[in-house]
Amino acid sequence: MSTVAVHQLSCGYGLRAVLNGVSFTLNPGELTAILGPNGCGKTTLLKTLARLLPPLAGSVTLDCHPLAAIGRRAIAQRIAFAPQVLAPDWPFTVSEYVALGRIPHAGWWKPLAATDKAAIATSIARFDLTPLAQVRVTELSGGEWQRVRLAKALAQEPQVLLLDEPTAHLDPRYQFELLSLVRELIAERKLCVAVTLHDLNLVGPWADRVILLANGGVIADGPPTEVLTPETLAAAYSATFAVAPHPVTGTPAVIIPR
Amino acid sequence: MLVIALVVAAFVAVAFGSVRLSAAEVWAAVTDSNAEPFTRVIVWELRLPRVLLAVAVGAGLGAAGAAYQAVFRNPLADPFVIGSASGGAVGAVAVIVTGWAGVGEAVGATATGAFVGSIVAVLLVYVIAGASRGPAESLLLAGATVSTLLSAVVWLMLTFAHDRLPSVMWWVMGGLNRNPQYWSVLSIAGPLLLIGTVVLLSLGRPLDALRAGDDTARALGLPVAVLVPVVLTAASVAVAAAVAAGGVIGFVGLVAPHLARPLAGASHSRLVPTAALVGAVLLVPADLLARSLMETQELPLGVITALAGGPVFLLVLRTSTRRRVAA
Repeated sequence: MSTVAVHQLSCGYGLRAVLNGVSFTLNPGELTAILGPNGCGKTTLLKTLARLLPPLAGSVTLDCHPLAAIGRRAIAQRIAFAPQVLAPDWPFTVSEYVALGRIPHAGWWKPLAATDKAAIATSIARFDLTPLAQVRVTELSGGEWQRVRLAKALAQEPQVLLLDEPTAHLDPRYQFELLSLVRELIAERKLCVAVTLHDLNLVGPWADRVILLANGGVIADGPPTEVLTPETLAAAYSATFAVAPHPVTGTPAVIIPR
Repeated sequence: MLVIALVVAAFVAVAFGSVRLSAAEVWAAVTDSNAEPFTRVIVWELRLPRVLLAVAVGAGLGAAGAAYQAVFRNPLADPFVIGSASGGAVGAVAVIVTGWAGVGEAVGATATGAFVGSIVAVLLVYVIAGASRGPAESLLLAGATVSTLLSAVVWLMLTFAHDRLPSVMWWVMGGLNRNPQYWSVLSIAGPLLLIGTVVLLSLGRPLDALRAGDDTARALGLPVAVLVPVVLTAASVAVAAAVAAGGVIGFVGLVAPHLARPLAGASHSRLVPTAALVGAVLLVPADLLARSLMETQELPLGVITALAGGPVFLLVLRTSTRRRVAA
């Protein structure tokens, strides 16, 4: 079980900070949704948590050790980051692509060991991709590709899973299937998961916790029922929202009325 | 299968030429030290080293092409798009035009000029593109621009020294026949080609990650900022050695990876070695054609690879586009 703690973090590209003085903790066994308007820094934040970008100020720690003090490869053995890749453009087979996830464990040239192959087969099976294992990723549908991205992250056998827009371009059924799988993994392995989302109505049923970003900082941080209120959402997105408990689930349902 | 094709092609290339040898004669010349001396000289001093040179140059260009295409994530990237060819040509032509060639040909002054020019051009491209901190495309753009610029420099030097046109043309059009001391050319260019190619062969898995995306590679714990220069250096050393040995031999580095993909798949642990083999399989017969099509003179090798490789490549492109449309 791992915990990611962010303290007074400023992050961005070069000298331009996108987020300033952000603090929060991602806990094991929790699905945290990161929300916010376009350009608010969701992806920048995930990249900084995965040590793809150095913090401009403040710190990110993994189980109390600053990321900067842990080696790149050691981090990749514990944190899996699936960046947004809308459509793959190189015809890897599904199993070749998932095998990339073993690089942090196997190293850059050693042949894959039996444990590596087992991890690849397990995560392919987990996402129902076994019949597609030899299919080229360039020939997959959007939903299949999102599952392949997630299978690669799972093959890394991480304790922390950072997913950038895993539900983008998925129809409702695939959104449901993908988030169900993520929840199963959290229940089984006590993973610490952060997911960026645009669809506010996925947050209530699926997330344990919401971090709402806007105007260079965290506007609200808490369970969906506390964060998804008309006032908070209006402050973040500069639009008028209506929120009501969903008739079926009771979680907050969000709409911008005409 | 490709290995067999290469061995057959090499054997045929040793047998054919202005003096045609039978398979038995070639075999005897290679294995038996008491074979007919004339045949032995042809095989040992002329044909065998030249065929080996073609193998080394073809393999180096093929592997380098596959590596460039992975790093730039661009199917059009090839050893010569990012400036190594025109840099090599400028280096060689500068040596020829300034007259140093006459002084130091014993130590291969033009070849050295080509090697240095080639490496300098790639460094220049890398510094320009690196300074703008841009993505892979900016490197490719900088390469194309530097290439065009350097070609202009070659033609400019030519207008001032048109009496050296023939030796300059050789560099621009390519050929393995400039220095008939094949063994000595091979002893210098061979190791460099081998080192560059072997480094690229060992980097299959990192190349896979880079091809999937810089962020993906970083998230897998790979030091992208170190890896990319290492790949480019290895590829550029191989290409610079190829240019020094054979001038600008276009198309092999671009075509070999594309021909290798249907055979080996997309994973670079198999793709890079296959592209190297394909490069060698292409260049050996191309060089045989270059030296045997006409009796009185050799044809420029670069022209043959482009004339033969172009249509083949277009055909492959057409069938693969069709398949994609059908799927």
